[in-house]
Amino acid sequence: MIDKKRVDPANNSGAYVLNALDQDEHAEFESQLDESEQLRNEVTELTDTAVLLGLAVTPAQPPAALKESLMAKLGTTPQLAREVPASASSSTLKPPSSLERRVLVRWFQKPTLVAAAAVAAILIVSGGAIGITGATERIQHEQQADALAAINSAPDSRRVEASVSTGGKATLVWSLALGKSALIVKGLSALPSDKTYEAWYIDTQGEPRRAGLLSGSSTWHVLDGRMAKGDTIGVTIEPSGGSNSPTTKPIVAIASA
Amino acid sequence: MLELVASGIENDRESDEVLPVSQNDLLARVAEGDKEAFGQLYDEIAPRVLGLIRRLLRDSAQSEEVAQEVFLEIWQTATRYDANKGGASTWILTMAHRRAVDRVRSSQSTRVRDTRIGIRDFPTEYDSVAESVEVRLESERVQQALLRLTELQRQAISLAYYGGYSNSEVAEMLKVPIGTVKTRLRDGMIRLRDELGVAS
Repeated sequence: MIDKKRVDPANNSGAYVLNALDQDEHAEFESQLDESEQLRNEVTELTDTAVLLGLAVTPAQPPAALKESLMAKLGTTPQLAREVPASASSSTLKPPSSLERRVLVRWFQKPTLVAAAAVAAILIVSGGAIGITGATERIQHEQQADALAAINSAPDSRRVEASVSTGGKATLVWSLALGKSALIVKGLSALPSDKTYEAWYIDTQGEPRRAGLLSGSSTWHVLDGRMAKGDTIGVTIEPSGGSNSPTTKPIVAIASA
Repeated sequence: MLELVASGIENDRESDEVLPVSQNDLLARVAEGDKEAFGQLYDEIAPRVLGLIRRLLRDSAQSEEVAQEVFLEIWQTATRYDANKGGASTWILTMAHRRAVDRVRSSQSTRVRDTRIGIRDFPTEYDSVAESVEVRLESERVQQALLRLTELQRQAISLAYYGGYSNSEVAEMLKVPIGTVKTRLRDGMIRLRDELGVAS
């Protein structure tokens, strides 16, 4: 998978124009751009296409103070000299060294390992639900992925990251317009088989509502139920199967307001 | 090369009625240190820039900060702008998106801190910008084109462009290999390019 990426640089063109490549790949791709006119033409067209995605966003009128402070800064902000050495754009962006490549490869393999671990965890956790067919799981997964994409692309979508007290990070992504939220977790500690992570909506009165179980090493979860304005999302460790109300102290709590 | 209005049919009329001086010309004057031209360029394109940045960052204060950085960068680097490589709005919005993505990826710690000390950053109400018929039609055209992509293409593009997620994050979220994400981002963008009639 990693090697194929190198064989066909054009495969990165979409990610490049969407600014989805990491720094090293971005630099590497730009050096490849210098070598291929065909690739440059594709990138020009796809950049124009990405700009159309940007122009489709509802404009927002900046406050007058923004322009005032900006205009005030012009006098003290020097402009770059006009002359550009022909190779300036590429010479500063060297392809990664072999060490950097190795680090890059390691870094890229990580998500795959996490995903594999997640699959294993789901298989263990859902031992009671073996009857579910692969197709059903796929459909459920697609619905979840759809929900996640909808939350992320909602105009009022927001996200906040927090550290988990027992290790790892949790990012809450939510849209109040949709009443939906999702937790993206990284590096959560593995739990013994008789325990599970459970998510809760906690309203402004401090009342918890169940928001679903999180299998230990899965990377994201669209939460069950509806999220309301002002809810804090908390996660506790509960006996496997979950509890009706939290029985332990939250290991992370993320305020959404 | 794109002008602010996407549809080629509308372009001429639009530039006559609304844009007496083209943004490319304004940018050329900015490169000469013309502050008035800069102000005019700002007035024309700042709502687009801020709208896009807010879409990624959500937070009003941070979005304004990044918008200010983008415009300072426009001022500083207008001398390096090459009209042969694309229109002014392409150059500016591409820069705005890149800076917004940079901020999304670097502001995690800030957001955690804000949450911990209990800052409640309710979104600031902005004056709504009167959307011209052209702007609305253009936005609908893009939405329609997005609907013609496959699910995976659309999800991947939305997460990457509007969410500011990197391809590895998108891969984790959609539970597909990174190589697949990259392929879908490319296929999807090529499909969008064709649906929207973008050609260089």
